[in-house]
Amino acid sequence: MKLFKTHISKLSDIELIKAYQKENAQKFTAELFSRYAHLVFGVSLKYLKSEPEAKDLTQNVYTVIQKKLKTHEVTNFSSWLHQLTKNECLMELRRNKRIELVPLTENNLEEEDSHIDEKILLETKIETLLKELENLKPAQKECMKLFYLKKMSYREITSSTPYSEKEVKSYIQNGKRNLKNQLIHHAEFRTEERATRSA
Amino acid sequence: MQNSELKNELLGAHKEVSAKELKDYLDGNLSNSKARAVEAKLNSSDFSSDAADGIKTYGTVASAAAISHKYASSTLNTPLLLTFSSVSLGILGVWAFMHFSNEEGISSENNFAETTQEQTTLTPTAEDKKASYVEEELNEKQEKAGKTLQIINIPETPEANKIGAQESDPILFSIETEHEIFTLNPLEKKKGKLFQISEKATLKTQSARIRHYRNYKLVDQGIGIDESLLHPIIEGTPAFKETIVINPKYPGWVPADSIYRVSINEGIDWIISKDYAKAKMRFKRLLENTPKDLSSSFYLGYTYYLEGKHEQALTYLQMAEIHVIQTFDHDARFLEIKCYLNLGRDEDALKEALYLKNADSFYAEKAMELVE
Repeated sequence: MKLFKTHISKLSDIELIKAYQKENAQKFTAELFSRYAHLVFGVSLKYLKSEPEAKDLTQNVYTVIQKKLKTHEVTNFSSWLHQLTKNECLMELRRNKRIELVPLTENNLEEEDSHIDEKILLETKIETLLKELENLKPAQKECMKLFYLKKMSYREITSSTPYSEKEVKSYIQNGKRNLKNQLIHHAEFRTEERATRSA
Repeated sequence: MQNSELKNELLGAHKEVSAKELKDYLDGNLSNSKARAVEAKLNSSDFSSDAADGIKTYGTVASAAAISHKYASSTLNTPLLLTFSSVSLGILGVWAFMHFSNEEGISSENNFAETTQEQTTLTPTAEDKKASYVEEELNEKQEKAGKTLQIINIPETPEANKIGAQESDPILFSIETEHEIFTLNPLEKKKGKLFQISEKATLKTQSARIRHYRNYKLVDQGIGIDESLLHPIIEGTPAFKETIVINPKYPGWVPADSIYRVSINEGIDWIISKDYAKAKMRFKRLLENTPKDLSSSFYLGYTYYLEGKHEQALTYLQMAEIHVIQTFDHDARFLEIKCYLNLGRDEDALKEALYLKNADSFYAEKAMELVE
């Protein structure tokens, strides 16, 4: 029994899902959920702004995943769980009339379609990446370089620049997003260029 | 150099931060290098980043740690296992491990883990009930959506569902059913339906896009609110304003969930800039298509109030008060008090003020000051 427990904790998310689908045993989902429960709780807090409600919602999400994972094919569990949690939060807010939105059914649980962007990034040369980094706005570029290249923490960046910790975080997040977009744009342009040449 | 790490970090989309890391980070117990490592994870994952924001802003680190512990199904004594593995005891080692681990007392943590799991796992009955409840609710919603909606045309161009830049342009809603996504135009002057569908889009053509926008951070500063949407426009009340982040790659598009909010927010912006005519036009048009839309009722009433047209204001504020009690009830009643006082209807004002006082409303004190 103890050996089995050792084994289960070493299984990957996907392996746990497969095992659950095969054996229908709660221990697999319990292990799986325990890896992310704190994140589900945190996201719920962000939306619901109340600890008791966030705890209830975390429990609900646990119940829902046990049902959904029986049949649902999930290739990236954390991404899927994030989306599921957000949906549950929105449903909860709608139920309590704390948000007015267009009615929405719950089939939007597909994982984020980000693998295409990632593929493009993987194929990007470092030189291109650094070149595009230079094209960012000065504050974003400075914070990105200090964080990613100099490996400085937010606290360290804050003490060596005029920016507050909040600004540093924001510059890095926005810089990262802009950099990705520039790289994707760059890759798309190259693809089109190649297609034109071959035509 | 470390340049390839930049690429790796940009790609590290699915490295979630662990409960312990998050706790230590938020408690400020980490060295700069360790804090930086956690920050890299937070930067690479929206899930972790959202969770950290939520815990930092609205919760406590201790609660998050307790939640994580609650669901822990296995408290493996990793160092012990690694020791056995590293000395390659093979079959003998495995046998020894099983033998010792079956003995009571070798790891009190393991026993505790089992107890914890038993305590925290839902009983099958409760679990089934919850699952069944969720399913029933979803079925009901889908059925309701199916009855409410009616397809009236199917234009081909995807450009049609861009959000309108001008007031005269259509502003479109989206709705998803199990198999399809519809884009709706609530501003079309067609009556009899809650929403009129002006465009049908297949999953293939639009689902990915709409999903992509939804996955973008729809709102920077939280969606649920305890206080009402009135607050950003009443001085001195808790600030709340949604910020909608639009993907720069598709600047004409907004997340499906946010389109309705965009149309309301534009109206609010017109109120703030004192362009009351435009604001009224916006909320009236929304009301024509969604007569029970309390946000539009409320803000239309508020616009009339600001114009000094108290009778008209009361009409719409009372609608907002009636439709959904929890959201606009107190805000609407507070404005009604002001309208009644302006109209010389002191008794009505007092009645509403007492209601707010008894309800221990955010506005109670201010309301009583007004009537006294």
